Amino acid sequence: MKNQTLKIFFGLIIFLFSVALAYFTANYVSTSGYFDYWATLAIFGAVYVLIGVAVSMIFSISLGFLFAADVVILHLLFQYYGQWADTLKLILIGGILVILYACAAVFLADKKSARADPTPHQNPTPDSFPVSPAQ
Amino acid sequence: MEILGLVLLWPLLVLVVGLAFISASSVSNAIIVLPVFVVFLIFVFGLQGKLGTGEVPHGAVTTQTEDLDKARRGVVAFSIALFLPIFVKYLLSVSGGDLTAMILALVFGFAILIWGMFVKDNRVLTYANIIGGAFVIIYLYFQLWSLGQLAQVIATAFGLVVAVAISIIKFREKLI
Repeated sequence: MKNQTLKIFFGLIIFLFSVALAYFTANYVSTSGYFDYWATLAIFGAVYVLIGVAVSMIFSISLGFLFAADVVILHLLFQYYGQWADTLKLILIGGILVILYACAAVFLADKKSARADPTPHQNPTPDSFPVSPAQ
Repeated sequence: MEILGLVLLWPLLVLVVGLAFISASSVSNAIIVLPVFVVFLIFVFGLQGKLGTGEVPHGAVTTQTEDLDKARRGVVAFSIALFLPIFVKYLLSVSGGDLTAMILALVFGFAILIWGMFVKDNRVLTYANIIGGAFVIIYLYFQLWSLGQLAQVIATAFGLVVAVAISIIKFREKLI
């Protein structure tokens, strides 16, 4: 349990630092005139996705980067989605619908029964053994 | 590969739900985000246990894995139900909103609805298709009403035929 909490804590730290790094860098390069703000965010989003996929064996690091990429990509979409052509939006949403239908059909079919046993199964512990009167 | 899928799943679902909210706000206005959020909460928390997670006996304690599975099913069903009318809206927008495209979209909406009614062993698809298909049909009827009397006649005739056909298939054994 302690290990799980530690993993979540470190994942959260990685997520917060990743988001902060992306936004601080984008602010810095745009105010200094080196590079565009949104382009910097897009590059950070892509790099975070790549890192998240590359380190997928370590859940806390991977999820920290991937959720940070989510924040950056959603911010970009919120900024630019309205300016896209309707054809592009149609293709994007059509593709997402196909992926969602595939996921629902393949992975989310109904389960027959969650559990047959109404009570949670407990292994008998030495303390739970009945004590005979002779003892 | 399995680990990669497991890791990518939740960030991908968060991205999809975020895009669903952004799309919904872009097709109408920002006010719609509030009712959409209420629908999202209903799907994720209100429909728990009804999206094919299996019978959990009364009084049994659910594990975190089961709760995550329920939430995942709710998120996928909500996303499909919300994306369907948005997809049809963009389809009509790309086609210029002519009558042929609207009738094709109406056929698509009824097809989705009927698929949802008759799909076996997949409650996620049942709920997503019925709710999404209903949204599509309501949206299309509002659009068709502004196209004149011929469009109204075609739309009502088509709706009537589909309703009668579904009733015959669904309740045939009860009529005999």
